[in-house]
Amino acid sequence: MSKRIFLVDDSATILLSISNILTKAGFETEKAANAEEALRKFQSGVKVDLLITDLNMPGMNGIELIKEVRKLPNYRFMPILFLTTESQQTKRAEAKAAGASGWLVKPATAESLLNTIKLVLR
Amino acid sequence: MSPSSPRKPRQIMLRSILVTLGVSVVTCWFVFLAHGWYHASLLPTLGVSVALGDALGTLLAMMAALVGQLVVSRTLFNDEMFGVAHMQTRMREEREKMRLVADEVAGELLAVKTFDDVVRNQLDGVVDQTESAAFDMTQRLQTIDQVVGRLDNFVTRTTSESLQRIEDSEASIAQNRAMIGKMTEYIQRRIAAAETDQQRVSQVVAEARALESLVQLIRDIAAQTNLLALNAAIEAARAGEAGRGFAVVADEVRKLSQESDKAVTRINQGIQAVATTIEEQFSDALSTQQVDKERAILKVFSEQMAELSRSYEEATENVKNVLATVQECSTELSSMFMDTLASVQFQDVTRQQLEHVGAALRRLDSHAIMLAERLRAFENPQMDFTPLSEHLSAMFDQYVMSQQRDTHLRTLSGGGTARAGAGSEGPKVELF
Repeated sequence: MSKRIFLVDDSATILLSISNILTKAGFETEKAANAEEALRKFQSGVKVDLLITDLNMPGMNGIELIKEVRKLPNYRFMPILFLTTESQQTKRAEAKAAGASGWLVKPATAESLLNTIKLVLR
Repeated sequence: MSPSSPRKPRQIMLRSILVTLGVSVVTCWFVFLAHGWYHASLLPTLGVSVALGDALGTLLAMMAALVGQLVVSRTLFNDEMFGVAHMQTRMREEREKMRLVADEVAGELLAVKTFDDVVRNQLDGVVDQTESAAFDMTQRLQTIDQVVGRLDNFVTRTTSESLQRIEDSEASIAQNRAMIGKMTEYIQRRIAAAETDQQRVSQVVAEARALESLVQLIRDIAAQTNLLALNAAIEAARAGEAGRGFAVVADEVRKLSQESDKAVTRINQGIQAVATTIEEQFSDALSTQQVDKERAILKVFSEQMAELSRSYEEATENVKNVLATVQECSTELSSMFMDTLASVQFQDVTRQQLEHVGAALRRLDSHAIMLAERLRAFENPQMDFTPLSEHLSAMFDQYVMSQQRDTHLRTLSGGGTARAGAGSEGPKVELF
């Protein structure tokens, strides 16, 4: 059974391109255009194996989102990756403390994205 | 204020000192000259006491000195105040000019926001256009991928079917090979059998022909028997009546020998006829040329079968190669497609950079408005404002990309080292 990945990004282009890459690599995808919508889906119990989120989004940002998601019992151990333009160590440390599993800086190559996903899903 | 402004007050002071000194000297000289006449003639004539006269004289001298100063200053400097009045007028005029310029500059600074609004809207338009183009590009890529996917599925299915057919064909080829082997074996056997048949038939014919010598032997025996019977008849005749019976036997023996000769002749004719018939009937089949011809035809047939089998093997090998190449290209296309999709992320990177430029322009707007207010309130020394350097620092804090920080630091350092801010940046991919 193929793994299901949740994508959260305020850019429709990113959602479309990354979901295409993941689908082509054999994954199923779930998408949300902002953190609030993603959180609602998590609260309603969406079944996913991995969350890939942007950091800087209008409204709730990625770190705030994963802090909320980690409070939900079903997603306490779900791997979470950040895919963002932000590259500063301070933000990474903040994300790590909030429960993130890894960090990819945009633009990430398809190879690095898929390799990282395979590593965190192993 | 003009460049000579700092010198003006000193100049005016010097003028006033010199004029006061000159007028005082003239006044003192006049008092000195008029002192005797004033006390000896004027005061007694007017009936004024000495004390009152001195007081009035002092007053007159001071007034004369003051009037003298005014006259001299007016004469020399065209200004009763040694140039102060002129200076005040110029300062008022300059202040008015400054106020007008400040108003003009403040108005222009306030217009910066409109200018920036236009630039920001242009940037927003660029962001919208690139976003729309990138989205459209991604959708087109998706469509291309679907076409490639269909092609890939077709190739995979065709490959599977073709490989099955090739596998089947390989079995057929193996069967063909076995059949060709058997056929070759049959041909060899057939040729060997034909040669054996040829030898056997030749032997039969030769043996049939060899029977002619036996016939001759029988004919010789029949001739000798006939001669013996003739001698017996002669001897029987010589014996007279006693040999009559023997003569009959001798005659019968002679007749028998003659019949034997006739029979043998017919047998010989029959044998020869059989031999001739065999030779005639098997002449084609037993001919060496015919056997060679048959061998050559069968050999050509065998070679053609082998060639056909080889050609078929080459054809299946070519099909395999074509299918493998198509599949390889399909895989490569798939990889290129994913890389191209990933590179669409540039739009998000560019969008964020342009959004930061827009935010910087908004900072510049507020700074320009504040500068306009500061200009209009230039007489107020207490008015405070945020300097541009603080705005720059705030901008730096809001950057999200290493490239933005590098560009900022490089620009501030006058185009120096590119990676000044790289110390706080992490790797492109990091697992916690």
